[in-house]
Parts: sequence; structure tokens; C-alpha cells
Amino acid sequence: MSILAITFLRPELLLLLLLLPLLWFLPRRLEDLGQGLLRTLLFGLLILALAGPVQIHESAVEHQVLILDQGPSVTDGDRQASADLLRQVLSSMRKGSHKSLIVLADDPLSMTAKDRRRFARVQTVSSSSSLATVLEQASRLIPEGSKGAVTLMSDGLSTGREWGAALQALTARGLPLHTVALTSVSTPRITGVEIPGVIRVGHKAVLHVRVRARQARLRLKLYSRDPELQKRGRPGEVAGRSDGRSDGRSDGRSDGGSASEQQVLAMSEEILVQGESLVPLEFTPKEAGFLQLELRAETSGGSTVGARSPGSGLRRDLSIAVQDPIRLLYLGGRLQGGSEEMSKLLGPGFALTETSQGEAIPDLESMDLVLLDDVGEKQIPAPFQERLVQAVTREGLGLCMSGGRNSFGPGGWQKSPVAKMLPVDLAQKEEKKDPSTALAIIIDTSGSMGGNRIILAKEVSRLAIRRLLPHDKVGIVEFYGTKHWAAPLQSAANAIEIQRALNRLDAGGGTILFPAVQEAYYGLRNVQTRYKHVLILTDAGVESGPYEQLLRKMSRDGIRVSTVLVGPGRHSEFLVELADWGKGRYYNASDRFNLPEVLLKQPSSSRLPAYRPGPIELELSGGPGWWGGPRPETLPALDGYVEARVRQGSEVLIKTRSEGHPVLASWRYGLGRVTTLTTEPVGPGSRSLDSWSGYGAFLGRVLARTARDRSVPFRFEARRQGARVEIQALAQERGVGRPAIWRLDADDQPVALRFHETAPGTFLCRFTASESAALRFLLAQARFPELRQRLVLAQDSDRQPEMQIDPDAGLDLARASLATGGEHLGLASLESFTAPTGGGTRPLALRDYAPWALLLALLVLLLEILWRRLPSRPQAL
Amino acid sequence: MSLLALSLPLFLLGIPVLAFLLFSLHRLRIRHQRMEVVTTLFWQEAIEEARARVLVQRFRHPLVYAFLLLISLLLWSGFSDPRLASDPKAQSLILVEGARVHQGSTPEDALAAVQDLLSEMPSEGRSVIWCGARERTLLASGEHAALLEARWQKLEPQATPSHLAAIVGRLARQQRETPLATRLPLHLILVGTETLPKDLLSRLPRDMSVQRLEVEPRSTRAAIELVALGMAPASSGAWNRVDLLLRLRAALANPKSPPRLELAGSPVTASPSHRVEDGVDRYLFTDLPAEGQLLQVFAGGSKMALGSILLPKRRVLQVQVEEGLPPELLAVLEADPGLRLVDSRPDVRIGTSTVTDGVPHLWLDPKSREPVFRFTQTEGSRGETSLRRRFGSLGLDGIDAEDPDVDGAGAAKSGSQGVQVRVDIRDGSRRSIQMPLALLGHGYNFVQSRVFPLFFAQALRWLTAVEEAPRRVAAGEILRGDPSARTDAQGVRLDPVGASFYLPRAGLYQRADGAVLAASLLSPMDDSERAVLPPLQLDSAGSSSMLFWITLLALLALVAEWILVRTGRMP
Repeated sequence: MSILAITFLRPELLLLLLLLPLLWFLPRRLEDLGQGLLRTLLFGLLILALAGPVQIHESAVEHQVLILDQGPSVTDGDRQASADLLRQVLSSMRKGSHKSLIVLADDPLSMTAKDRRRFARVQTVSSSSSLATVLEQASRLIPEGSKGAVTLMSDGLSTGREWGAALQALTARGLPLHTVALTSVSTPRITGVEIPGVIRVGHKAVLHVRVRARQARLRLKLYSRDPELQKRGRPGEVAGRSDGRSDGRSDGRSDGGSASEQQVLAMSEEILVQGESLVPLEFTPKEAGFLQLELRAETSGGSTVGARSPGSGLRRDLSIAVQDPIRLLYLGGRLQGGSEEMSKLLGPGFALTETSQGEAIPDLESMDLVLLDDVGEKQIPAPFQERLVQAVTREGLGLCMSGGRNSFGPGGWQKSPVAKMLPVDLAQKEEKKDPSTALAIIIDTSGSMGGNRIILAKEVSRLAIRRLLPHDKVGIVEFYGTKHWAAPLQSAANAIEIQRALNRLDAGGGTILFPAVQEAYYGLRNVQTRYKHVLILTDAGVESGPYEQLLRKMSRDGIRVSTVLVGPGRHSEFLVELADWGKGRYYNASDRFNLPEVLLKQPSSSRLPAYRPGPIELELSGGPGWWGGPRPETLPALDGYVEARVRQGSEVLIKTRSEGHPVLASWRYGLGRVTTLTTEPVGPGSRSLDSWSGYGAFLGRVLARTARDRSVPFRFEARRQGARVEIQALAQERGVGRPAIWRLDADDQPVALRFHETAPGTFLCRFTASESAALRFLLAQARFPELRQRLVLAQDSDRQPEMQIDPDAGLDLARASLATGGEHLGLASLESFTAPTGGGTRPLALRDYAPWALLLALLVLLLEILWRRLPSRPQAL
Repeated sequence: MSLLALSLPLFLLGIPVLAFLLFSLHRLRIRHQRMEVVTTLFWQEAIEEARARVLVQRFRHPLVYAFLLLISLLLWSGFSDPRLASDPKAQSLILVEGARVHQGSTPEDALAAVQDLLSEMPSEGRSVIWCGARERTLLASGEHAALLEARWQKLEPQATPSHLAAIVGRLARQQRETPLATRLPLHLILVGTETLPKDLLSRLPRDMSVQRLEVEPRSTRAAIELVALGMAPASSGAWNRVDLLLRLRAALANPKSPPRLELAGSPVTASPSHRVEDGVDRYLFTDLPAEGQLLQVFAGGSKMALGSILLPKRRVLQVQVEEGLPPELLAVLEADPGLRLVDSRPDVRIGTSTVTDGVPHLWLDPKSREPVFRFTQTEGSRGETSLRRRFGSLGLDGIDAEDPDVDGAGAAKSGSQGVQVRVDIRDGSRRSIQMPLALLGHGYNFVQSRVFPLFFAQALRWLTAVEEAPRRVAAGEILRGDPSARTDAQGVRLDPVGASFYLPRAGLYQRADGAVLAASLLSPMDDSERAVLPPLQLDSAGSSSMLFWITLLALLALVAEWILVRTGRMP
């Protein structure tokens, strides 16, 4: 049926028109034509009315929807004024327009019955409803294709921000949004809380709280709403370790730990807020899980007026997820009980896994940080070292090497694959050892040694003397029938004297060797050198004697006797025997081209110890990220450290004052970070640091900064849009596979959900849940489902209490009007505002003709009665 | 009760007028009729009746008068169009699925079913809403049901995912937020869907119910469903390339030919890797050229594109670096495949001087000692949020300052304390970034941090307004963090006014600067456990049209009157 044509709602009843001719015959034949026609018309009209004749036509009727914000964020004056102006606004609108009213208020608007009747519809919604909600409702009140307009009287502060779709819908329909700006109250308020980074058990957490006020002195307090944290995520398993030791890490503030409903976790100083301020609040969670907190802003004087209800600007409920401790793989060596000590020192922020020698080392992908503590290179298998390098470089694993006498250089790490990752060079000094030697050269200068032989003997002597160092001793005994010290035993440094003595030697005389050997023996016996040698150079034409007894005695006294047969040709068994008895060697110097190298000693080298015992004064550097605040002026002196040298590009936080050797250094290596501490963290070298109350916290902070940036290689974002919940996971590295997700139900049991891949490396999990439920999730990498990260989405997280909305983040009313083709005006101009309409692409209305048919039928009835009663021509009786 | 056509005073005035008219007519003498009589005993009456020249008679036959008056009043009441009490005791919303996918019936069948339903319901308190790309009220409360068909014409299921669950959720929230004093029970009747998420249904307010209207016959699901269409920077590392993920679900288990891609109208010849996961075909195309072209997906031999996505235009930025800057900075810039160091005509400049000549500039302030990254941006509060998100994830505030108060020899001044680096964002007319040159020095660990190369990569692209294109653009969803106004395919400029832009349906959307987005109809991927809705059980109050009954009564009365008049029993 087309528009503008008349249509019938019950067309089947038109069949009754076929019965109309019966009027002329029943119950009696009708002769009065006029009456018959009138009666036919009458019944015909009634039948038409029964069939429901209607006409759909284009209508000029306008639909006006007024939205009146009477919420607590609007000043009392403007609320009253806008309500009072309603009547004038209605009067200014075109007559006959269809008017509806939506009031944002917690109580119905007070109106007279007459004013209420002027509206076709009056709805009241809670003042905590968002402007998006009421704009959608307003749009719904205007039928499709009709002309209309929406007029919004509000301060623009909306509890929900997603008004885009509603405004776009109005624009698409051509419906203008007229806006009237009301004034909002300027009470102090908390407008936002930012949590940078991850909150982890045992580590300091920082909340950045945004507060806004015209001018107010405020103190912020953070309360725990749970008597104790709920342990979530691993049923039947302890999520973290509690530390009963007071460690001063909380900067003197109470960190909770005992059951108390309203325990203060953190408190700020009193601050003067003029405009907007960002206030940090720090606290250290003691257990992993989901934490319910309450944030309050107290005005000056301790007043919490206005802070009683969650809807006030000065109180906010928070739900936060506290992650599991950092997983630390402890590989210790020399120090007994090192891991226990370390665990106690670091507290609940670290979960230590220790591997004893011989045990399989856990997969590094399940760890955030590896600590090699005073362990030698040989104790760590080479394949593991290679794996460690790969894990640090390509996977972002953190590595810390610490220790004393069994680590770094002394531990033999210099040539290991790990060494190149360290921010320090491993210094290891070696000492070359050249032991002292005393040499007595006995030269045969008998007549048989004449000619070339004596020359050869001198050459061999010179060669032997040349190897000696200044701390060695040398003497020359000649025998030619008698014995004689050509050069008495003296330092080899007196080379000139010795050479002269050698040069003076000349062959001549007899050969009596034995006394010369005795002389040499007596000369060497009292000399204090490491080695003692006697070198006999002869042509072997010597006398016999009790040489064996003498030489054996000499060798027992540490004096070795070697012999050199000088001259060509023959072999001398006698000289061989002398060398045997004297535990020396036999040489043969047959000519100047075959002069023997007489070995008198073997130089050696040994490692000097790199561990420096203390006390060692320290010098500090580095920023508050390492130190957790202002850097201390000084620290107690160390009791020992391992000497090392800084590599260029590394950051040195602690060094020795005297020589500038690095004690604590760190740098980025590949995707990971490597830190070195050249002393035992819990051993004798750092014993003095026990007196420093901040030691545990400092070490924890250093290790935390060294550890992997994130346990699960995805960045997760959770959000709500009404009933729809979605969690997006963005892979931070390549090849990490899929993420996994579980939602915790009311009984804290994990229920698996699914991520769907939406783009390479991007995953989405989406489901529908009521806005009034807080949602808790566990997220992981699918390959390692036991390594989970917590995530919480508070109930109504897409809404903010009205009194906590940042005025700068409200709806820009003027811009909203501009975007939709409406007008933006103030209260003062509202009285004569006519609210021009728009849209009306196909404004339809229905005209019902049935009543008109009935009116016509009534007139016809009256006419028919008149016809029956009108006087006629007189008739004869 | 109310009167639609007449005001009450006018109606009441009409009654005595009618009565008087009828009285006057009733006083008129009845016309004579020739009648044969069998006796002359009626002469007296005959003489009485035959009295000449008398127009009126005395009032006689009061019952007849009353009967005629009753009929007249019925007709008069009918004309005033009375209605029964119009204050509804409950609200009924009929929500009709307007999304293209998962249509359980044809629009014509749905219309017929809804019209039948409307005939059983009073017009007050009930509305019919079409839930397509946006909600359309096809029948407002109190409107005649006949308007429905006229407004329903030309409505076709739209390229948008189903929003019924979200709408039910929103209505539930609105119901909860309505003060009890003014709240009416809310009944939702869904047309075109059988199930809703169980969790949602279990948390409905007590005075709210959801039922479904059975509609026959059923149509089949779409042959091929586009589950996912998204892109990401190429895993090969090539700057001007992207990888594309395509996931398809086919309703019929037939040998499927791989999907066909066209880039700016030309076929894409790259062969994707393929695997099947949970019945969904997954295709990964790698190293597609990122030149700002429209990529369309065709499947199943269809000539109509199943979806489309605009690939980003990833050009290499020309960067001019001032002489004398730290070598670490140069190393980082040279290692970025999306940057090229040039000596002239740069897209962006890095240096210590403040002369910008219009070229976007990253200023390394040699004099400043305050460890602050200062960003000047032009997009107001939403721009600030977007900026904080872009740079906040880098962890700039984790950079350590050893001590800002160092003297020339590097020794800390007494009483000084180390601080952490801050990020400061302010509004301005042009984008700029300012940071102290000292941040690249030994007093800070910025250069050693993981953030260092990432910061410059992001900063230079932000300065030149190179945006990271959204990886996925889906109809019926909002573009997180993007408040830009855009013009849709119908030429309507849609401005979210500071909120995230909403993509009502599949198609192209263009920004004022010419940037285009292509939204596709993608599977909503909602894995919520669903519950079957109970079928509608009408507690029929029937139509409130009294007019029909009054007319019928009047007709019957007039039939009786006619019979009485024609048989002479009534004058």
C-alpha cells in the first residue's frame, strides 16, 4: 500500500457492502427511493468505518525531546533555573509538536499536572546515567524519518565517555542537538588514577592520583578493603612468600600485613591543590593476588565531608592486580646456604629456584632472572652457558653475576661465552716466576785442552752464562793440576768481570779434576739460590777418583752436575757417568757449530689473586630509579671485592673510591640486561652492608631492574563497553605463539576463554558480561600456561562517578551542537528558543477516517429521520 | 479513557445538541401511509392522524426516541474516537535484528510476525525498534500499527554485526539506573535471534524480561563468513611492507578455493601460508606493499568483495641530523629501516638549534638541565591521551637521571637529589618535541635503556604525523583512541566530538585530511556461553480500539432499527 493512498485495516469487512442491496427488499420491499438511498448511504458509511479506512501521509508534526540534567554536578542555581524555564521553552516550541522530557535525576522532577500533560512522555533516569545513554533514549523517542530535535540542558560532565555513536546517529538522521550550558560545581575531586607499569608483590608500587580543586588542601590516603589479600590464580598453591621481617623498605610507613578492615597502606603529605595535581602514592603489596583498595582525599582538618559515598568526588574504589614475584634462578657455588640468605634478604618480591650441582637446570623461558653467585665457570655446563647467552640476547632474560673468590676472573670466566655479556672486563693478573740459580763452571785448562778445545769450552761457558739473570750467581773454577777460582761465585750481573776471567783462561798444566769439583761443591753449598749447578767442561782426560760418592752427595744437597765433552770425536763414558751421578746432563761440544744449550732452569707463571680484601671505601652514582629515592651519601666499606674494569657504555652505580674499580655495574645486552656485583651479596665481602637498613630493598631493586621486562611477552589491554568486554593482546616479540586467558568465576575457579587472532600478532578475546560484575583474569603465553599474569577489570569500569569527572574531559556542548547542526546557547537565551528541527526525510503520520465516516453516518441518520417525518402531499384517506 | 478526535467539553456539548435535534425530529408528524383497515373503529385515530396543516405532534413513543438517541450517541462517540486508559503499566520493546549476518528469517516474514504481534498489544507502552547500523524507531509508543509497514519499507539487513546483545545490556543498565518511583517493568521481545549470552540474561533486573518471537521460515547462513582481516608491520622487517591475516569460515564443507585479493583493482599474486584452525581457514600474506592502496578480499567466486582494508602508506622519512650529536643517536637512526639520513629537504630535523622553518623539529636543548620530555600537540585532551598511550608504553618515566645538578666537572652539587625523567604535554599550534641534550649524556641512563631507539622511532613519526594505521577496522565497533571526524560513503560528516569514532557499517570513511578507512563486516568473535530465549507468551490485553466495537454496535442497532421501521413496529 503506498503512502497518500487510503488503505483499510480490515479490508475483509468491505465484503459486507455486498449485502447493501438487501435493504431494498428486506424485510419489505422499499418504495421510497430517497429513504432507500439515505439508508444505503448510512449503512455503507458504517461498513466503511468498520473496515478501518486510514491514510498514511507526510506529516509536519515535529518531535521535540528535552533532556534536563538535574544531577549533583550541576549547581543548585542552574538546576532550579533550568527547571523553571521549562514552561517557557515549551511555549516557544511550535504548537502541535510532540514533546518528550527526559530528566537526569535521582528523584522525579516536581511539575504541575498541567505541565506534565504538555509532554507526551516524561522519563526519569538516574543522574549516574551517561549522556550517551540519554541521547540514545532521546533518539529512540523520535520515530524514523520524522522531523525532530533534541535539546540538552547539561553541564556536559558525563559518567561515560562513549557518546560518539549517539551523536553520530543524530547527525546521520539530520536531527540537531541543541545544547544549553549549565554550570557545574567546582568541588575538590579525584579525577583519575594511573598505575604505571606492573604491580608486583614485594616491590614498591606507585599510584599516580589526579586531583582537581579550585583551591583546597588535601591529603590522600589509601586503604585496604580486604583484611587479607585473596590469593588467586593457582588453587591449592601458595602464590607468594610472606616476609615476617621488617625490612624498612616501606619508608617508615605501614605496609599492612595484619588483618584490618581500614588499614592505611599509604598516605601523602598534605598538598595545596590549585587546579590539577598529580600525587604519587607508594606502597608495597605483601602478597600476590587481586587487591581491593579505597582511595580517599581528606580536606584540610581531616574532614572527609563528602567522602562517605563512592559517588562523591573524594572517594574512589580501586581494584588492582598484584603479580607474582620475580622468578629468579639462583646458581650458587662456594657459599653454603647462599640461596636461603638471599631469599630472606630479597623478601617476597622474588621466588628463588635453586639448582644443586648435578640437577637439571630449569628451562630459562620460565625464569625472569638468573643469578650466578660466586660460582666458577667450570661448574656451569657449557651448553647452559650458550643457552644463557641466547636467552639474554634474544629473549630479554636478565642476568646478574656476583661473588667473590670463586667468581669472575678467579672463577675462570674470562674466556667463557658469558664474559662478553658482562659490563665489566675480568682482570686476572699473572706472575711470571724465574727462580734463582747458582752456577759453578769447572773448566779444564790442562795442556790437553789447548787449541780449539779451550776456545770451545769458553764458548759453551759464555752460552750458559748468558741465560743467567742478575739474581743468579756464577763462578769459574779452572783446574790444571791444581784448582783455582778464576772468578769467585758472584752475581751474574757482573758480566764484564766474568767475561774477563773467562778470557784469561789458557790451557796448560795437568788434569786434576776431583779437587776442583770439591771446591765447587764447597762454594755452592752455602749459596741461597733456588737451583745450583756445576758444569764441568773437559776433554775427559782426567784422573780417576771417588767421583761417584762426591757427586751423589752433591745431588742430595741439591747441586746438579752436568758435563760437557769438549772437542771432536770420541764419546766419554766417564763424563756420562759423572752426569748420571750428579743428576745432570751430558753434552757434547764437538765444534763451534754444535755448541750445546745448557738448560739450567725453567721459568713459570702463576695467577695472582684478583680478590681484594677490605675495608674498601665506596663511591656511589646513579639515579633514583636504582636507589629508590635520593642517593645515600655513603655506604659502609666493603670487606672484599673482585677487581674488574669497566667496559665502555656500562652504567656504574658503585665503585671503589681509591682505584675506581666497579663494584656494581649494569648495561643492556641485546634484549636483556646484565648486572655485575663484584662481591658476595650475602657473603663475607658484603658483611658490612648488614648495617645498612636499605640494603635488601636496594638489591631487590637492582635485580628487579635487571630482570626480564615482562613475564608474558604480550601487552594486554582490557576494556568494557557496556555489557561487552574485550581483552586485546599484542605480541611484543616474534614467534611467541598465542596468548591464553582464564576468567575467574565467583568461586575463584579459572574458566578458560579463547583469544582469536585478528591481525598478525594481535589477538582479541571478547564476551558479554553484566556491567555490575568485577572481572578477574589470568593471562599467559599458551606455550607456558603456568606463568600467568593477572588482570582485573572493575565493575562499571567504563563509567566514572559524576563527581569525579574531570571538567576538561566532559562533552564539548558547543562542538556537539555544531556537529549535529544545532545551536548552543546559555540559560538566559532559552526563554524564546524555538528549538528548530531537522531530519524529516520521511515524516509519516496516520489519518484515521473511521471517525469521520461515523460523523457522516450520524448526519445521514438525522437526515433520514427528517425525510421520514417531512410532510408529504395530502392524501385522500 | 481519552478522546482523540474531540475535546471532552465539545463531546459533552454535543450530547444535548443531539438530544434536542432528535427531539425536534421526533415531534414531526409521521407521514401518512395508505393502509387498508378491516374496521371503522379506528376512525377516531384516523381523524387524529389526518388532521391537516399540523407539522408537529405531541411527544410520543419515548422508547423510540431513546433508541434513536442511543444510536446517535454511539455514532457521536465514535466520531470522538475514544481510547481506553493510556498510562501503560509496562513497557514493551520489540527489537528487530537488522544485521546482515545470522538472519533467521526474511524481512517480510519478520514484518508479518511483528504485525500479528502488534494486533495483540495495546499501542501505548510498546515500540518497535530496528537494530541495524543504528537503532531506528519504526513505531513509537502510541503510534498506530499501520505506520509500521510504511516505515519498514526499504529496510534491508545491513553490513554490521548484531548489536542485540549490546542493546539488551544497555537497556538492562538503563532499567537499573531508572529510579524506582518512575520505573516500569520492561519486556523485550527479540525478533531474528534465538539466543543471548547467558551471563547477561542471568543478571537482568527483576522487572525486566526477554523473550523471542518465533518467525518462520528460516533462511540459511551466509556461505562464507569473514572472521578476521587485519594487518601488521612485516615480520621480515621491511619498513614499507605489511603482513596481512585473513580468516574465513565457510558454511559448507566443500573444496574451497583460496580467497582472491585485489590491490587497487589489480590481483595480488602472493601465495599465502594456509592452515585450518577450528574449522576456520587461516591465510597469512607476507610483505604486501604498504603504499596506501585499498585491498579487497573476494571469496567463493563472488564478484562482491567480502571485506576490504586500506593498507598504510609507509614511506621512508627523510631525517636531517645536525652535526656533532652523539654517535649513539646516529647509530640508532641509521639502524631504523624507515628513516634515511639526508642533508637537505628533510621531512623532519633533529638538532640543537631552534630554527625550524616549518619543518617538524626534535629540539635537543643544549642549555636545559631539567630532565623533561616536552611534547606540544594540537589535538586537545584526546590528543594527549593518544600521545600518552603512544609514548607511555615506552616507559619514558623509567629513565634515570643521576643528578641534574652537576657542575661542569660532573661533580654533584651539595644538597642535590637525583630525579626521574618526566613527560610534559601541552597544547599548541604545531607539533614539536623538546628534550635536553644532556639526556644523551653520562648523567642519565637514557642511551643505555631499551627505550632509546624506540623513542626516536616513535618521536620522528609522531612529528611528521605518520600514524600507525589501525590493524583491524571492523564495522559496528569504535576506533579506540581515534576521535577524528569522518565522512561516510553517503557523504554525511560524522563527528564523535572527542569520543572514539564509531563505524556504523562496512564501507569507506574519509577524514578531512583525505585519510581513508575501510571498515569490513567481521565476525564479532563473542564466545560467551549463550542461552536460548524463551518464546513469547502473550498476556493478551487485546487492542484498545473502542472505535471498532462502537461502530459494530451502532451498525447492529441500525439494522434492528431498520427492521422495526420497515415492519411498522417503529415510527
